[in-house]
Amino acid sequence: MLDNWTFGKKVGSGFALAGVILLVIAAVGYQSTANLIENDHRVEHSHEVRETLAELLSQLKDTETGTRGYVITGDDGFLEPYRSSLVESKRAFDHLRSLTADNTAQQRRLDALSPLIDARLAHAKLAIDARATSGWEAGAKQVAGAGGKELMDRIRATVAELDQEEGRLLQSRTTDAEAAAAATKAVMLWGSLFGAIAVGLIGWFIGSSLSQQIGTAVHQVQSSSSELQAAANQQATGSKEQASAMNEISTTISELLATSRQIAESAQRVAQIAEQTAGSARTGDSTVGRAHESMSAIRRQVDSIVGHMLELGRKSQQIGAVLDIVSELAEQTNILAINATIEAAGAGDAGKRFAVVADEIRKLADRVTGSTKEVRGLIDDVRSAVNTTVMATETGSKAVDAGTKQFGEVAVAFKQIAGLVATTTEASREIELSTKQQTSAVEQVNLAIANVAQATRETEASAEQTLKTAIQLSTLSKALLRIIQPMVA
Amino acid sequence: MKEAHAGTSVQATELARAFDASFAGAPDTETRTFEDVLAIGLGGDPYALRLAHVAGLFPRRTIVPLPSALPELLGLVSLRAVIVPVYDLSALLGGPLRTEPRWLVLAARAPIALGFDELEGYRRVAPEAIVAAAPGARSSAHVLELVRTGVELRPLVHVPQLILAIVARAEQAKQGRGA
Repeated sequence: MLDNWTFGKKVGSGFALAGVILLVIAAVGYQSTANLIENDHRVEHSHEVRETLAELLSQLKDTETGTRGYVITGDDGFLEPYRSSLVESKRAFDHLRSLTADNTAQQRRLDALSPLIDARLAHAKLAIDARATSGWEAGAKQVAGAGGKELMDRIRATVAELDQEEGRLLQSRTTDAEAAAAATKAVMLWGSLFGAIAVGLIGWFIGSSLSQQIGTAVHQVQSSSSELQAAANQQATGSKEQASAMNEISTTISELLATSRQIAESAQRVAQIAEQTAGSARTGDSTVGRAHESMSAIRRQVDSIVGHMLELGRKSQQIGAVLDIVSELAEQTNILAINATIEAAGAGDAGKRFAVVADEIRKLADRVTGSTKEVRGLIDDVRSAVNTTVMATETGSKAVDAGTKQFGEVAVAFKQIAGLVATTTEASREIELSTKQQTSAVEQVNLAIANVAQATRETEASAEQTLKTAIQLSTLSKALLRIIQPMVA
Repeated sequence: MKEAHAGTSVQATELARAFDASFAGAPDTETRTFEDVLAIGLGGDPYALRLAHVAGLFPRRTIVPLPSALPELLGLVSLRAVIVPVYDLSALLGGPLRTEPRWLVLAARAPIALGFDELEGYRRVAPEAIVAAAPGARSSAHVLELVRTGVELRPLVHVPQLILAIVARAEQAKQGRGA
């Protein structure tokens, strides 16, 4: 059961037991000393009673001496002791009364002594009065009378009884005092010896118990300090690695912060560019709209050109038809001229002049035929050019249609671009805001990382301090073990 | 186009001026020796006919087919209210037969018409432009001369001899039919 007691409980119990023993010894010693003192007081009381008795007797003797001196000399100077003894004897008697208040036998003796003292003082008063009134002889007669001496003898006898009684009490009290002193000495001696042995046994028991308990605890402390030392080493190493990692993280976070700021700036520029692009898209949309209108006008013009060209083609066909007639006429004229030439040749000399005319007509017909061919070639060129122009115009018209359609698509695309650019602008602003928030968060993270790094450094320092403390604790436990080892052994 | 139009206008003006000048000037009474020929084309080959051997030139007329033992005889045609037989000139000269000639010429001394595809035109050449064809260089028995028209040297078909050959073949056919 005592093994489960704590150190304080054991020490307290030991000291309490030792204290109880000492209290008992002290109480016994106190009681013995008190008895001894009480006996001393009683002895002293007895001595005081005896001294007061002697003083009372002395005062009475002074009364007798003063009375006798006055009677003999008649000098009032001798009455001084008489007057003083009247007071002092009264005081001594009262003192005796109070000192022996607890002693009935002594009170009875004092009751018997009191009238004797009064009678003796009255006798002295009579002698003094006789001397004063009747002179020396009356006074001497009164002094020499038998009453005075008898009273004085009885007083002495009573005082002697009182003194004997006090002497007996003194003897008895002295014996009691010696017995009390012996008892006190015995208590002091044996009590001290017993107390010392008891304290020694308690100390041995507490020391043994505590040494064993402390030794176990010290071993545990030593083991724990070793483990703590190892843990502190690991913690210090881990803290260093953590501090290094925190530094790397802090560097990375700083780079991330810089990157976030760059992203924020880029997003801001993107937002600005997107706004400019939105403006350009709106301008482009308006331009495309105007271009679309221009394309529609071009299409109308192209349609008109196509119509004119087709009309020109028809006119060319009509010219060709007319030219066919002219050509036919020229050919017929040529044939007629040739036939006229033939006929003129057949007419002989009479037909020569007609032959000249016919030749001129033939030449003219030839020229007309040539010119007709040239004109036909020109008309064919015109028709070919018209056809080519019509085809080109139709191709242009189709291109214009395609262009108009494409412009419509471009307009739609521009509107989509404007919408997308608006969306992009909004997204860029959101990105900018988010990036700023991210930057703020990263700054907070950076600050937190810095705090963590500081905490890690403090942890590292704490771990080093813990390591030192563990080493000191180990050293201390070894020292403590060395201190308690002899006790344990 | 504008330049062509201007050129055409100038050409028409020149034609009108030349035509008017031919009537405004004095008649040309100067006697000059020349030969008039018709430049024709047969199957793309150039040929020529003396205008003196021709009585008239006509564009394509309706030819009424006529059954005949002579494949060159295309049929009958009415020229100047005269019904004349039409022979394919190309087939007569030994070329491929063409049944629908575009042009017809009436021979001078016989009521026979010759059909051909292409009339290149009237040519008046100097007598020295007509040269005799070498016997080995003759493309046909009816081509005795060559005429130079411009830079081109073309065979000159001798129409009278050709007419004689047609008549002879007709007589042979007639005799063959009679026998």
